[in-house]
Amino acid sequence: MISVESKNQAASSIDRLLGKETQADEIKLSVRNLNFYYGEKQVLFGNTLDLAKNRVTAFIGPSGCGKSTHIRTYNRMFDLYKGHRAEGEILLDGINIIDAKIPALTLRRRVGMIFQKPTPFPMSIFDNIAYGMKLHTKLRGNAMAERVERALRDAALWDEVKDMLNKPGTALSGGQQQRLCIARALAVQPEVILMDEPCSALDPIATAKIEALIDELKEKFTIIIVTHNMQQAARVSDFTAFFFMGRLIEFGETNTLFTSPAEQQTEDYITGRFG
Amino acid sequence: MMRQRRRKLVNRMVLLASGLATLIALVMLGWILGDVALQGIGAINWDFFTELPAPPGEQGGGLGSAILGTFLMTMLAAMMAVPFGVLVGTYLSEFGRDSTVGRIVRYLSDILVSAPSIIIRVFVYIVMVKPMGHFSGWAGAVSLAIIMLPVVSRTTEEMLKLVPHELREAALALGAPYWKIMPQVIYRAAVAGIITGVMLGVARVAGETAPLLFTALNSPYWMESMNEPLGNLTVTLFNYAMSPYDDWHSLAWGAAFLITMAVLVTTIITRLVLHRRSGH
Amino acid sequence: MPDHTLTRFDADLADLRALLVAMIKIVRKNIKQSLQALREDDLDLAEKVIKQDEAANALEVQADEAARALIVRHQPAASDLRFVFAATKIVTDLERMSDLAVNIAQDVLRMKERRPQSLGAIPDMQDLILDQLKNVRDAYLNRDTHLAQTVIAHDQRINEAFTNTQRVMLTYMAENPGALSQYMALINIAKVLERIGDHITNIAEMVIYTVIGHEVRHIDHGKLAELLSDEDDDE
Repeated sequence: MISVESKNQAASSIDRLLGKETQADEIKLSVRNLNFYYGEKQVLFGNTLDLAKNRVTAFIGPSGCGKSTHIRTYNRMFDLYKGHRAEGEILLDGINIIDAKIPALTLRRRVGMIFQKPTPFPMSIFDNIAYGMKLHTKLRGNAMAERVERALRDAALWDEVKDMLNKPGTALSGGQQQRLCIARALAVQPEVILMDEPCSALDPIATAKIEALIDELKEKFTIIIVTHNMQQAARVSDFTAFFFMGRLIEFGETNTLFTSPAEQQTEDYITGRFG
Repeated sequence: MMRQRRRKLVNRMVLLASGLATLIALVMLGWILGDVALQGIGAINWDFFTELPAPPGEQGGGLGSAILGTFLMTMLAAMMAVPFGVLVGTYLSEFGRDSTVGRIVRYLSDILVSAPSIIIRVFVYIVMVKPMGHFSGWAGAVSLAIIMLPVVSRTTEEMLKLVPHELREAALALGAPYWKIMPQVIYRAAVAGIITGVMLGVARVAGETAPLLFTALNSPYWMESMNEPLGNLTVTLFNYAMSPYDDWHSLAWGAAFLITMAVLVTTIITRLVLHRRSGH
Repeated sequence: MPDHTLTRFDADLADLRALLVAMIKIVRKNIKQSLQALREDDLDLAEKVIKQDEAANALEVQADEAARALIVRHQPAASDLRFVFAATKIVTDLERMSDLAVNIAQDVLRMKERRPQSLGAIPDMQDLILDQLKNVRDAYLNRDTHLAQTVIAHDQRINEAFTNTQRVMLTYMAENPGALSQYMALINIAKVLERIGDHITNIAEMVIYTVIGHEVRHIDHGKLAELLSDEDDDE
């Protein structure tokens, strides 16, 4: 009755029960004790977690829990606003983002972002994709056209737009526009892609296409997705982080977190016991 | 059941009332345009554009100098007011949304927009005409510019505010510095609205008379420089319409027709150009 | 734990739970009555047990449908997911137990009132089984992992009772070759009871899984004790 395999399984079950990680994924982003303030008001409290390379990590939690605020620190979006500041460490491949050791321009090339509302620029599809490239590279002409095509292919949009590259970006449907934004981010060859509720404004078919895309993209990129749809988190992510009132309550493998979460708060949230 | 019947009745009555109001407005508009067209079109001929006005009683003559004058002053006013107005509008939208300075500027701009144009004229008279010692085209242009400015700045501000917040963030997230985002993304997104604002300003000033009185005044002669009273359509219209001469009356009608057509055509052209540009 | 914000969810879970409890009740009755038929040579009772199995089968189908509906409507996660998953497993075990009771009833009919005097340890097995079935039901309703653990531990005693019975019957068979088929039937009945005991153990393991979120099927029982005491420390 007692085999070696089942003994090991029970052992690793116990390990996981006690919160020890058992896989050896490479770490891309390492967050240590992140605090964030809107002026005097503190909204993130001591967030600490590791984001694995070439994996999809989902951030879930109720509205206002700080998950969007949190990922916006990864590309220093808060620089845009007066009075927003971050404390602590966010190490991208070992270098701290917060104390501006990496210039914002470079950081934003390495860490791209997709927003909830698709935001095509008021220019042609081609120019949309080329926009980022013009900022960061000296590519022009054929070389640029090649990169544009590759970005559109990687975003699963090429076949739909290849004959209308000079039409404005706004002429596309919502789902296509979002994929355009993804292609635009891919064109500058980032390492990390942040997605802030990318499918909230899309219908189920467009959503499914983007989720399928995320599955493909994670082979080359590290993806972090904020979502308020728990089933989506369960579908697309490898790891899930649960936030509540600015604190990271639980972080672990998606399968484990959704089957046997360690924290009661997590359990209550994902089972719909909102109290 | 009774309630539904009453609701339907009210519905129908309001529909009728609003339809009637629209009809009246359209009729009035049509009447004015029709009248202007009918009376004015007869006066339009080649001479109208090229000849100077003839002394009363003589046949022929045109409003060449007046047309040129209006055109020049409007252009000049636009060249002054548009860049300034767009920049002010940009400031108000991008940086001045909550600041005290922003609020003050916005308040003043609103006052200016509704100020009677005669006040502007007096201001320019005191500031430019008196010290210079004579009326001039420059003074005329400046007074038109002052009228145009708040129109352009307010529309620019509103149009820029309409550009979704996320668009700025998306450009920023790609690594663009703020000074590049403004022209490449924000202005491009708002350009239709900004141009509409400019057109509104131009349309407004093209028909202004008061600011030109006592600034550029008027002149029946070809201009030699901007530094002297400049012929313009509106004051000419004013004078000729008030005159007892029939020839001058018909020239006045022609001037009215010309102004109306000019504004109409410019607006249409702008719309078409923008339509094509946005590719829909 | 607070209630689900969607009260329908709680109601649906309660319904599934009620179906399982109803099924346990029928199974208990079937086992008890089949053994009573054996003791009292009551052929009519044996027939009745066979008919009652239909009710158990109907409940199995109903419970499975309820579980499916829960999954479709609520996409359960965490403890709710484990609960629904476990419910489908438990229902299967219960249905098998009812079938096994039918086996006993059929053996009784075959023996046609010519059962041997001694029933060996079968009465002991009956008591053990009915007790453990009651315990596992209570453990299920109260999420009581320790009670479930005692049920698992008692399986040992049921197995021992079976071995005893088998030995006794084999002795009788040697002494009394004419009544061979009767003694064989009794050994069969004892075997059936032992298998019922195994199903009860399965249910107990599912109860523990639902509560602690860990697979405990097929693991060493010593490890199980360790796991449960760890769980207690965590709480």
